[in-house]
Amino acid sequence: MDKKESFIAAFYGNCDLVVRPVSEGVTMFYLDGLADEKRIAKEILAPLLEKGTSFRTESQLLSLLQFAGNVRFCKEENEGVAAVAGGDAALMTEEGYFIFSTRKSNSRAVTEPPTMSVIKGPREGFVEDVKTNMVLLRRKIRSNRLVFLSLTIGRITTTTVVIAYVHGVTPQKTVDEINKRLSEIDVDGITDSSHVAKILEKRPYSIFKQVGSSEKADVVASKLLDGRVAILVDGSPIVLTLPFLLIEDFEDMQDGYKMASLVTFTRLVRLFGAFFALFLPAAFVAVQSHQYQILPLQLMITILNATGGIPFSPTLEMVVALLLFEILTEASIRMPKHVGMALSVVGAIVLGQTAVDAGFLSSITVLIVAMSGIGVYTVPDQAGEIGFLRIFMALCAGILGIYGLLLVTLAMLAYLSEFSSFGVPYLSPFAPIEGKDLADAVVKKSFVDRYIRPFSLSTNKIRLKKRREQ
Amino acid sequence: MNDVNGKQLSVMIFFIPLIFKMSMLPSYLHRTSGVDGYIIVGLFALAEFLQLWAVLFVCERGGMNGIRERYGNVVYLLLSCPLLLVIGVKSILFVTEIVNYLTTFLFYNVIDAPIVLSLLLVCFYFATKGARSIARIFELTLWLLPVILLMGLIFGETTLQGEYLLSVFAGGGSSILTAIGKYLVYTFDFSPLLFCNIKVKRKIGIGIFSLFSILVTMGCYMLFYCRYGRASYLMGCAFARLASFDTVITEVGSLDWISCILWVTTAILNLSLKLNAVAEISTGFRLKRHWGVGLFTLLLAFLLLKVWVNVDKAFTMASSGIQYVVFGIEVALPFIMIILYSHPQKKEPVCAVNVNGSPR
Repeated sequence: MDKKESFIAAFYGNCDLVVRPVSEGVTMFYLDGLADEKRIAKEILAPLLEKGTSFRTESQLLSLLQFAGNVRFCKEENEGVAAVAGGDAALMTEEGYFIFSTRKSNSRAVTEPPTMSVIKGPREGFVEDVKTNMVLLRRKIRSNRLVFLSLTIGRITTTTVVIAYVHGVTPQKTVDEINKRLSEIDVDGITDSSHVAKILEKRPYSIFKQVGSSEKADVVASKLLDGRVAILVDGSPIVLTLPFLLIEDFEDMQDGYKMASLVTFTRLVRLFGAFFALFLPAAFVAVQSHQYQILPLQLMITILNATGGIPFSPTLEMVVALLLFEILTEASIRMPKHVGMALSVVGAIVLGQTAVDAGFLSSITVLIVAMSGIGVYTVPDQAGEIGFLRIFMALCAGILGIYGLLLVTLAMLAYLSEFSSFGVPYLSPFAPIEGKDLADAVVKKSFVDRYIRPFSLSTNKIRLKKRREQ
Repeated sequence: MNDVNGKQLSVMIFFIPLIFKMSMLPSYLHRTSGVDGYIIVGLFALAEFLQLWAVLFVCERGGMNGIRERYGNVVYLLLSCPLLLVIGVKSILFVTEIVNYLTTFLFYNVIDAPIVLSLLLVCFYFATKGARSIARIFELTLWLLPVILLMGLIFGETTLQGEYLLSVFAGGGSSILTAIGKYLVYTFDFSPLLFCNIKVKRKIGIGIFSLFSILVTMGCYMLFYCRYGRASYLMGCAFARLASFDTVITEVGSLDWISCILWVTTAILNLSLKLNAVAEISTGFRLKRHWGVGLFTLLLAFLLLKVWVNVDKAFTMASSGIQYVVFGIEVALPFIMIILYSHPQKKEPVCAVNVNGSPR
């Protein structure tokens, strides 16, 4: 088997492998669709056919091909095969393989991400092409201190993964730790950044999110400036950010562009929303099952009137209602967009009303579940966690009342307080209390007063050197 | 796992001495020595903070783990095993107080077993997580205090009678000494910190917090006696009574729920800190932390469900002669450790290493 046949055999009869003989002993290989055929024809094949193939080194070849861009030489066949599989073109000669970077960018246009649409602020969203995403970040941080480190993960997929950070702002040990963890991955393939996130999570079976993510370049750029690390994965429009703190999900991407005092109010609303979403169903079960005496008389009478004749215990009734809500949510997400909307309306109004009329659920239970459901979506990134926990808490409240609810909450806090994301406590800046970070956690500081970076994240604390002159 | 920073220590030294002194003790003290109770508790708190400084002195030099490194496992066990008795006695008393409070305030006609078991289960979980987690939850709990004060400020209807405090030393010094002798078990709660790795940058802050904590403890007693006067000896959990500001809001229900949650939470954390010490002691027996604390918790559960089943029985046990043994251990232990640390450490001979890495 000669060299050319051996190379073709390495592709196991792939139909998209293009083999273009150039001259005696010189052949061009590339994959149809993945490599840019026009560039190959114009910049490589045409000059070679015109000027001949009497070259032996990269410099000799480059003198022939003035517009061919990056060229490297390798002797081993497997290197040439890997390059062609990755979208490059390989020119096989008797000496070895000349590899041209001819990968075609099939990326979609940079648009506003559907999950992160904004009223105020930039609308650029990441795309599937890692190079475009790197450019989007570069355009936000035009500095040599923005560093991109490239890795290849996956024995079969050979996916490009890029670690981005701002030199001198992000602690080097965090970068080294992430780099080390990613380099140690030996897996056949990854197809999305969420696979990388799973690998970086210390507790893979935890229900709590351990890695931040965003689809917007401005959000990731501001997190990089806070001292975080971003991880870009080729083929995924979702960029990961680390270290991740729980409070991040209570912050919105538009917070930085709005009036600080209004943002503080909105953040408080989000906190209360999440609090009610989590505790309201359980508290209602506890009150109904065990601690009815804490309610004022009028309210107690109203509840007793509304819940009379329901065939289930308060716990079962609430758990059934919460599960129905989860089923509706799941179905409306998976349905096509317009059907999904119709389904959620049918579910919310028709099913709820019918269940109450049929005496299956009490009207107060439906109200509580609806209020809790709305509360969940004040913090959409935590919807999954809150959805699961509120059912669990309702069960515990049914068994031991408010005492049970308190115990579960404490156990949950104990679990979370032990969490850390690359050395930063998950509940920071609340536990442990980090006084300076606390000032920008719930209460939003104005941009001109945010003259220090988060203490728990960055090594270089000073953000704003000269404060606004009054 | 057991790292505690200065801020966390400040929060802990605010809550640890206060929580179980603001439960049944105010009524017990009032029964024995009238309104002198607030002076007695001030003395208790003062003594407790003297112990804290001894504990901090030891912790700076390595705490219990430092003793193990210096003198070996046998000395470590000789010093730490008596603490098992201290923790056992106090845990029995405090768990029964929590259960009594829960069954009085939160539940009606309920058996104690599920309360005891679920409480110990959560304490066990906390203990396995270590002092760092416990300290962080203490920090989170702190946020409830301003909420209570705010609610009290808005809705509170408490009327205080200052003259209730005036008959000080009415029973002479003997009633004070009797009370001190009877309730010694309620003081010296800082021993579990011996197992923590405490990093304090500014001791002045700890000193201020200690003083503040003593004043707060005394102040709470004074407020309690001002409010309830001679009826104080009838009142259960003083903290919840006081923090409710005598108000039941007609629109949204009982106000004292926040104070109930704060008291129960800090009580659980206090117990968990003790069980964390048990977990550390168990490593001296070559047991894993969770096995050690698990066995101790099971034993505790058995004793609480079969022997000391209510707060009266537990108090009778804890205020018997055993309290002097407990007191003696808690006083003596830090001082023994200080003496051990003051003894210069033997320098180990340096083993020369050749270029290949093996000893010559």
